[in-house]
Amino acid sequence: MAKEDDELAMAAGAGVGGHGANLWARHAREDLQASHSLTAPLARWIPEPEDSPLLAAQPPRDAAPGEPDTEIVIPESVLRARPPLRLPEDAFCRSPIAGLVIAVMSVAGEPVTRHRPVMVIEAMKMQNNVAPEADGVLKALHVAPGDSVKAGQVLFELE
Amino acid sequence: METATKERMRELERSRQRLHLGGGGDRLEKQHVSGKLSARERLTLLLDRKSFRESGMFAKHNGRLFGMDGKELPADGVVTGRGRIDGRLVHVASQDFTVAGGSAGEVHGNKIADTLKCSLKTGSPFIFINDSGGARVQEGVGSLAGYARIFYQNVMLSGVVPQISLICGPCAGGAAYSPALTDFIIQTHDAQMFITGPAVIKQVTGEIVDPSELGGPRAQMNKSGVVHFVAENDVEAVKICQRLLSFLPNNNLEEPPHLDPGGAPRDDDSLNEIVPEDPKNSYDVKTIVTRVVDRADFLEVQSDFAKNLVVGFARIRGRSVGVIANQPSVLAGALDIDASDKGARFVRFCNAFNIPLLTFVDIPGFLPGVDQEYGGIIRHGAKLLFAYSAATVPKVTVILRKAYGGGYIAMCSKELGADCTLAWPSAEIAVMGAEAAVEVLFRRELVAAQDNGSKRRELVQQFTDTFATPYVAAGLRLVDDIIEPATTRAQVADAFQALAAKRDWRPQKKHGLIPL
Repeated sequence: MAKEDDELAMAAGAGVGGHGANLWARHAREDLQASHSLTAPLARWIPEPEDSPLLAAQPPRDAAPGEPDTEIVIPESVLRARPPLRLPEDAFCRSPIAGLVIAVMSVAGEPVTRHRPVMVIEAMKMQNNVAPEADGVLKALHVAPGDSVKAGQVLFELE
Repeated sequence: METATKERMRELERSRQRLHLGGGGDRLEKQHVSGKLSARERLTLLLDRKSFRESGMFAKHNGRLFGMDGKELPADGVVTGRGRIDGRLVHVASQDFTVAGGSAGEVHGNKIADTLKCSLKTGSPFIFINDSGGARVQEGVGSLAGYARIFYQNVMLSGVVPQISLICGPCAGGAAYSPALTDFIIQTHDAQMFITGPAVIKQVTGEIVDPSELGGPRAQMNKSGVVHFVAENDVEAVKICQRLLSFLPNNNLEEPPHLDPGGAPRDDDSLNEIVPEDPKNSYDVKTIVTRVVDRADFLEVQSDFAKNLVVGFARIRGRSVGVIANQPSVLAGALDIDASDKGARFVRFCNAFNIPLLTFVDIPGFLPGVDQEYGGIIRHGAKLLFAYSAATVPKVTVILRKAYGGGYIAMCSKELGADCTLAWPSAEIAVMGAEAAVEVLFRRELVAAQDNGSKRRELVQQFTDTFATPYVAAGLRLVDDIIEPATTRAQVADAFQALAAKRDWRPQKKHGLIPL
């Protein structure tokens, strides 16, 4: 625990030492617990030791240098790249909000990328980017700058 | 040693080896080919080296009918026990798909329920790795009773120790409710969760849907908001679980682990540039979050659900905080039904486990719309108000830009109990935006005016200068201080340090009645 944290804990009238040593805050929580549950406070658990490995720079899970980690071999089939997940509605991008189309950045026939904006809709006095949820090719654009759109209206279709 | 004793030892070793294989070599091979690890391999990856202590390996199922009598199902299809992650005690259950398809019989369910009880007794997190075809039909209602005991224990543990579910294979029917009762769900790319599968849906409603479209991670994250993290494979799922645990305490009486606080916070001038001057332009609020927290280390929760509200875990000077931030680039950052639910649940989790709340505000208000009203935005939005007001952990709020109307109140305003409210000079704290306010206040004047446009512009400017600043709110002490954005990290760190010993009292009650 950092020195200044110790000072802070003392300033708050708490003892110092041990994990989460701020007794003041701790007791308050226990009181609270009782008031919330109307039952006796739960057992007090023994705090974690101060030399928790979390504080160490390197977690102990990794094998020591030179020692082979033979416990588990991960098969290639587990690590293989998966195809992107698709939903049926990915093909139709709908307007998330009612507003005014102020810019369209792509034209039909162009490839588009997931989460890369295709158009901007002004709504609630803000410019909102609209992006497809999947990679694909823009099959059809149904709106142009200046059009008003409703929430849920189809803006463009993907192939 | 006597021969008989030696023989006993050998017998023990043989039994262990046999049971360790689960469903056997062929089935294990099939599990690997389908891109999954085995139940034991997952635990080996998850837990510290050689820390796993199994309990119930020799458990026998109690199915006697339909050819089950005398059939050996190693560990009854679920590996249970305790271990350590980063040196901290956890209890685990891992379903073994190679044993009768991971089907849950009564003993299987009881083993998991008993492991949950051990978590509660020792105040240690519970991790449940799901990979099961569902209830073991041959055991009839006995298997249902097993499920019910798991659910009941999940509820007992809720808010006392963190509970995390990994969905690494099928999780269908009633089985899906145990993960739903836990705090976080991590689903892998190939896993599916649903209550009724495609076959039943087709039979009952005629709808045709394939399993991954119905219950894959895209469906359960983007559409339903059931899962919290999506992993590419089992290995990544385990890593997410370990990272998540590093932010959490072991139980609700402890504090989250403290990491090295690092050096004194430095000013970050780039923060002065992020919020665009034109209020119509949006930006990604995550660039602000990552610049304020330690080492840009931000674990976002439900990153693809209700993206207009960003929530997740980070640290400020080595201490865990829960971050809640409006995302102006999605739906203008307005709160809707899903965002309110997402935010309220996250705030309640943080409060239950002593994790302070850091809120970043840039909100034009609640999202207008007929579907929002019909969907019950009133009761859903109220959840966020309820959760913030009920939270007793330290609460620090930073107002970045817009803070209008009900949205301002909902985002941990001073009156909802924020302990420290800071505003950037770009903050606009008002009942509504200038243009809307002028429309309401000066409708008659605008109709009467000859030059409608210029009159409107003049009034909007007047309203903006008067109210769309942080100074009126600061004058009313709704804001504690107005700060230079570059100093945000230092200011927030200082506030949390001062609040470390915060006490807060609430009236006695069984529980509040959050509008569910």
